[in-house]
Amino acid sequence: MTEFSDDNLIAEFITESRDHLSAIEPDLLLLEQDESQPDPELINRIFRAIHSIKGASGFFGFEGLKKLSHIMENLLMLIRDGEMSPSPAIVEGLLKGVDKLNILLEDIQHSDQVSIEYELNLLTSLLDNKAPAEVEMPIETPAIIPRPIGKAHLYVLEIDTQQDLLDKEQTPDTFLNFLKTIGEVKATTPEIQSGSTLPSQWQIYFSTVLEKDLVVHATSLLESKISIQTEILTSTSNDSTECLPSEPPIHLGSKPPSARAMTRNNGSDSTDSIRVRIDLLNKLMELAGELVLSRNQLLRTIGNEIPQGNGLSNIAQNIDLITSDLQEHIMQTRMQPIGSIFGKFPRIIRDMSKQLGKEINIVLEGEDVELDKSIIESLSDPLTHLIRNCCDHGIELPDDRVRVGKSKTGNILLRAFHQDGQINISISDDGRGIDTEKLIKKALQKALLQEADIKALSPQEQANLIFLPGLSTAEQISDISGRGVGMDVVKTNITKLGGQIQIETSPGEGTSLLLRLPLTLAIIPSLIVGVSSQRFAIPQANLVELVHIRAEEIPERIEKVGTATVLQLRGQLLPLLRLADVLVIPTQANIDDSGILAPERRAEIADIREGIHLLNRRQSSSSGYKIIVVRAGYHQFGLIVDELFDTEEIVVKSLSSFLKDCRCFSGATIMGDGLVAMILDPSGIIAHTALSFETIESERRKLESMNHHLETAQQSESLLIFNNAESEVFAAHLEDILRLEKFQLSEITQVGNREFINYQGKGLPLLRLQDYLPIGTMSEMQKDAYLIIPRAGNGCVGIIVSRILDVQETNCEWKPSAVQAAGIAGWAVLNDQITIKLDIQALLQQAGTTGLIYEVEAA
Amino acid sequence: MSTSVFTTFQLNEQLFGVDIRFIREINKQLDLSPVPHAPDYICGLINLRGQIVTVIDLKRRLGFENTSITNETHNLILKTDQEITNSFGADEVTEFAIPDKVGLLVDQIGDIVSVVTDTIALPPANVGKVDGQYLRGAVALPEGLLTILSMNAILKGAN
Repeated sequence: MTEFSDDNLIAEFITESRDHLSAIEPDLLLLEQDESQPDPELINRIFRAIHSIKGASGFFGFEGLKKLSHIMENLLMLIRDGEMSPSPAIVEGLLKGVDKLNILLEDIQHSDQVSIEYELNLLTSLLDNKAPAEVEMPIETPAIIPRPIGKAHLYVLEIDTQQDLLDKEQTPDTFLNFLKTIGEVKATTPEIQSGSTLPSQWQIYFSTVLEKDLVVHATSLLESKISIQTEILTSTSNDSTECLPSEPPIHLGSKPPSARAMTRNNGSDSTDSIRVRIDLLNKLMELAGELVLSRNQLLRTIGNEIPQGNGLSNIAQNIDLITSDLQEHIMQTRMQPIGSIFGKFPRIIRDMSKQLGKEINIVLEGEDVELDKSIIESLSDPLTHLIRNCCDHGIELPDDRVRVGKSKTGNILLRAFHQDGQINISISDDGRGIDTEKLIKKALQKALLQEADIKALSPQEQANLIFLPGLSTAEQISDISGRGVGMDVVKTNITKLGGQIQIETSPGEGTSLLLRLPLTLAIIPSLIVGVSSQRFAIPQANLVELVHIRAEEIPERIEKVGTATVLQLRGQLLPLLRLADVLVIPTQANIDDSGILAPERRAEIADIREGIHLLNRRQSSSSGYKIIVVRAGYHQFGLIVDELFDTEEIVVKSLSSFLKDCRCFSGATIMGDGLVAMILDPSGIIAHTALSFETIESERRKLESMNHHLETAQQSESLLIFNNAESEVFAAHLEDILRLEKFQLSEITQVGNREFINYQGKGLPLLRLQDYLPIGTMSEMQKDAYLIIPRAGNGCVGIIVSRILDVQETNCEWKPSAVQAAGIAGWAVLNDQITIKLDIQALLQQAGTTGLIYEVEAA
Repeated sequence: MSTSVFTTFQLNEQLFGVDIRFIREINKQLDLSPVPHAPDYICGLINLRGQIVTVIDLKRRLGFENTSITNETHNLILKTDQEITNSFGADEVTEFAIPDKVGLLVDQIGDIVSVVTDTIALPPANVGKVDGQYLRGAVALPEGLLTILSMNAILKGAN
């Protein structure tokens, strides 16, 4: 620690170093991508960042930081000088270094005690593998010269031939050639000719973009022997081509920096931003809020008391506009681009894909979308979790992908965009999707769900099971994900931020998650509702819909289930509460003249806890009910209010500790007119009223299963449709029929008053429908007919019908027939025709009683 | 000879005092928004220049009936412990610890009185209906007995 060190300076050093490190991480990744043609601009940027960390840590005397950044700098220098290409191994080493630097910065005062051995060794070995052969640098070797960008320095190197060169086994030629690889040798004094005798002391004018300490390092000269002459702007190498061992490779110099690198550069290098403390911003916000309220009062007073036309109203209007503008801009100071968290994902993806042996590509979109700082901060963990999930569970192994006909590389798209005044963040992958079957099985296994619930779930709801606490589909717990705490924690965190999360998945094609977040936590759009003379705010995020039940609809829309009152809404049953009862708000009559509340009607709370009562207290009210349907987690319920006002953007203020027991409120706010309103908390209301969703839920299930039974009872009737007399259509259960045969009427043999047909070598007794039922007869013109051989008669009887019309699946409702006859089951309109359903069994029984079957048996 | 300064006020025409160092301001901001389910001595919230202040009906708190708001009704806004610490140092906060902004509703505001600290007597067991736990001391003034309230006990409900 030097005496210069000062806590503030160090704190500043830490924040700056952090910024540098987070800025170069994506650059390193880019570097790796362009391995063969590194963008010099990119290298320079990384280099500068590490360099300034090194410089400052040296200044403060943080040895560990200095050592590590120094060796990284050396490595970068070699890359920059083209003596090394940024291979994955090297980038890996540098990233490891960045990680360690970050760790060291965490606890800077003890940073020297942290072991950096591993990183140092790693980087040193990287350096050694490709260390420049300082001793002999063959002239023929075309070294890559980075085109100097920006400012170059002109150095004067004082050379003592013996001490600096010969003692180090270098000749002036090799030394000059080496210099040419890292810059331009402009001149030497005296001029050095190959082979001529050397003066013992001489000078080299040398121009390079390298900083002085790097030149010291590269040349191994004493620092005192290097003096900086001027800074010259070098646009291109001009007159000194003969000094260069080779032309700078065109592809390197001419490669335009990628657009991404450009914009980043423009942003980070500019000095048009300053650091401001958060508490200062918060204070400014608060003051702006107060200003807005004062303005409102001013406007009201002016409106009421000052006569028009004295110029004051213009001034007031001006103040009005400026105040709004000021508030808006102060709000913006807290906004940060979401890119600040998106930026870390390429690195995470890179590390994870290596770890998992997958190939994953991430595309970021909408990094400049801005969000409140506090939201950005709390969003980082959930997003990281989701991204890791995508990598771990979503994207398949390359081989598996190829097998199902996808490209080897999996894709993840992370996108932020504005919609409906909210920030939307979508994360989609083209992986294997979520196995909902497995989810359901797990949920059942862990008793998180009942079998009966599953049926009611839509595919999307099934996918959303993943947010249930204690559910993880990973077979094995990896260190990446699969601890079963993930997704529900993600959901909780997002909900805490006033956001929502949805998941959609299609097996084999991928999964996409959508997060919807408010722009800022401090200001939330809310609906203002009124009960009696009081007003309350309900956050839009909790609001599902507004329902107005007219007085005449009350009996059919509102009913009692057990002790609870429910609202029927599109076939759903929603518990219904009256806000005035929940909050024990007396009607106007209970407020005495002073405006102070009369003693509360405590007794009613008990009533409320037992269930809702007195819903018909205001049955006389001709306006019916105004109901807000609100949502709390999975549950929805209705709240009856007296008035619906506008929506307002409200600023949430926390509640005093005196009010900690008021569970129905999540905070308070000041409305536009300066009055305070409480913010309703639907989950708190559920807890307070002990609102039981179970009875209603079970009721709903009962209803549903009843409907279900009814449906199945009616469902899937397979009918044979046929006629006898042409105008009469009959139907019979297909399952009652064993066989159908077409035959010629002439084949019928008359035996007494019985008819038989030779069927499979036996005499099959026949019966005609009109003999047993009051129906018409078959047309005499017919030559052929059909034989229905029913199952019930053991195949020993045939029913003659004239035509088989159809076989049909139907679930129509059969009405009892007006004609009471055994054998007629009912009638219905089928295909626009009145169809009579026969009861074959009853028919046969009737035939049996007439002795037909018996006779046949006897015969 | 050390003196203590008190802000005095009347509750039901009885004289009470609070250490002036605890008072942030006195106003007549009485646009109260009631809070359902709150303790009965909380008569509502007010907006004090953008800050939400919880207002205690002091009479109710001390066991009297509810305050009826008249022209003379005032709101004594107390300092938060942060403000007290900022003004006088952390030692003074021992009296009470209220992180939130709190106001006390009083019937009528009185003078600022300065009394010799030694003349403050121990509190009686009770003053009228007021339970002894809310009292810190009493001083005989020419205009009558000044009962000094203990903010600790009065604000205890919050902790």
